[in-house]
Amino acid sequence: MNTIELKGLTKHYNDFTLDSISLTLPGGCIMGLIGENGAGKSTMIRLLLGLSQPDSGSISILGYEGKDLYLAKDDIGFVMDCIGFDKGFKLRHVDSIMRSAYRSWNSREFFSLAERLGIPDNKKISKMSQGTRMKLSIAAALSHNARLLILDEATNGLDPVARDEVTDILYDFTKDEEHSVLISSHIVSDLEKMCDYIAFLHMGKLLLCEEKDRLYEEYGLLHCTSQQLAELDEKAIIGKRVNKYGADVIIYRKAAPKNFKISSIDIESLFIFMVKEDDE
Amino acid sequence: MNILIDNRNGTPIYDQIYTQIKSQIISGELSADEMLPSIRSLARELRISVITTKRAYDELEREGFIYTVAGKGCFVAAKNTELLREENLRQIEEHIAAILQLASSCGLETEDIIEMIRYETEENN
Amino acid sequence: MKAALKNDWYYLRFLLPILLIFSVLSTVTYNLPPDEGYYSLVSSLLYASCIPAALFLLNERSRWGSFFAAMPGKRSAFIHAKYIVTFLSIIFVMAVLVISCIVYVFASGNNEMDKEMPILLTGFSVSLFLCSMFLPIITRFGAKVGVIIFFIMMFLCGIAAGFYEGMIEYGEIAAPDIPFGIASVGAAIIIYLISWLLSFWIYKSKEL
Repeated sequence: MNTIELKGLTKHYNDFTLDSISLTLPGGCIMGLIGENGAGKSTMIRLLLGLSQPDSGSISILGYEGKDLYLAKDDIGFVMDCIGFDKGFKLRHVDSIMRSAYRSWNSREFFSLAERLGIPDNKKISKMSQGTRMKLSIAAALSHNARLLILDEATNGLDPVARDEVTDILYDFTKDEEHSVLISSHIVSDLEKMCDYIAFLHMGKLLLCEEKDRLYEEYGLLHCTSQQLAELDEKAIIGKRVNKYGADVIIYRKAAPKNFKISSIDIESLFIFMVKEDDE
Repeated sequence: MNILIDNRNGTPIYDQIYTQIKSQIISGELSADEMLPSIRSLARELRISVITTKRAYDELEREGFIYTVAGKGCFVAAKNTELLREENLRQIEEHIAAILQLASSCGLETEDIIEMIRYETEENN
Repeated sequence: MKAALKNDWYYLRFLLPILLIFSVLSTVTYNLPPDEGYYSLVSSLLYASCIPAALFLLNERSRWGSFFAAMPGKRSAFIHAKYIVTFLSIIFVMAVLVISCIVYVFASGNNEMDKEMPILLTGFSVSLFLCSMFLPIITRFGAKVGVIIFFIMMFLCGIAAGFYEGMIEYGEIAAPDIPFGIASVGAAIIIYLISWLLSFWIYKSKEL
């Protein structure tokens, strides 16, 4: 079963429109939602969580849709960029609130997970570092048998070690087809390694949504001279960056000239180049 | 089972996994009917996408190197000597093609190559 | 609903004791010579109407509203909790004031309860009415607007109370009596319920 199915999801604001987003997150996979600030990632996630209503299009989460969509919330663990609790809360306050909100809340699991992650149990949130707060949010999201984890810019402000720990947790979470993750970020390197699917969001539009491996297969990075650039087929070029001494071009591997050396792309460059082309 | 992933050498990761498992099956390091790690646990251990490992396993199964038992997992297929022989012949052909290309680039004839092979055989014996 | 109430209670644990102390102090100053006006007796009730603005302000600071809406359950529970908690807080302050007055009756032997009860009831109604006004405004426009309006209203209440007392003293209008007090409570409750419905309607489709 697909964990998330979006069809033509649209939301209008005065100065921004999320324009007809259609994507699918299969069960058991991690999808990275990449986009610059203001691209619409948080808007999309707010629509998924019911914080705002779409103007058109449909959302289906864990098989629930339409009027029943709210039933999915018990099975969704979410992490926002800002922890939703008062800064004076300690672990036991978080436990108390979550216990009253989620049917399957497991206090024992929460406290043991918090201990494993090194979250102090008698400290106020205000005294915790950003990394610890994030881990607390994640521990809370993981302690009620969630089947879908949604993280919105959750790894911003985390040091490399903490990010590594979070990656481990996410890998553990998707141990079977019943558990999926949607993680949004503008820091691409965070997502590149761990994701199964990559989606690019730019100015409210979905530029692509694809298996990460296929992206590596389909696109390649070519370094060439300006003359060679001129000889390339226009349609094969996804994007290019030209400097005084040559050019970096991202192209479809299939359409690449045979004798050129094509190196692997990285997702970040692919995104930047695609955005530049889209803007032009 | 040993799998070493090199992120930088340009070969797709699924291909690296496929190749390494295959050679371990052929060499006998992985014995017949030995259970392979699940697609997901392999992906988790190697910290790569589960789709990648699935692809490698699908490829291995398609070529007859492994088989799946529903509900249990993936197992090494019994050594198929015919498959082995084909595989080895294929590799030898690849090597020959490479040798001939090198030979032509430094002006050697096929006869010269055959001489060199004979010499090597005698040396080894 | 329980989660919303628990969250509000977390703050009330600190707000209510403050109101408690304020209430006790205001009854003391009211009863000590020189003769204080009615306003000092009910001022704590009026200040208790700050509860909605205070709670919303604290919620906004921690983004609790958005967080709560993403949790299971109806998002309107957020509003219901506010209304319930506000009402109970005003009842709490009222109870403290009534008890303090009764204690004073026993302590001093002076019994002015028949004058004080109507004042208290009217004060209760005014406080409830203020909350009925604040809550939809804050729901729609946010806590910061609510706080500003709260201060403006407190200022106006002080002036209005002065005029009211003056008019009673000069005999232009009758001092309130028990039936008047009870009627005002009834009216205030009806207005509170209407306000509740209005806030519910506003919050239903609010962007969070």
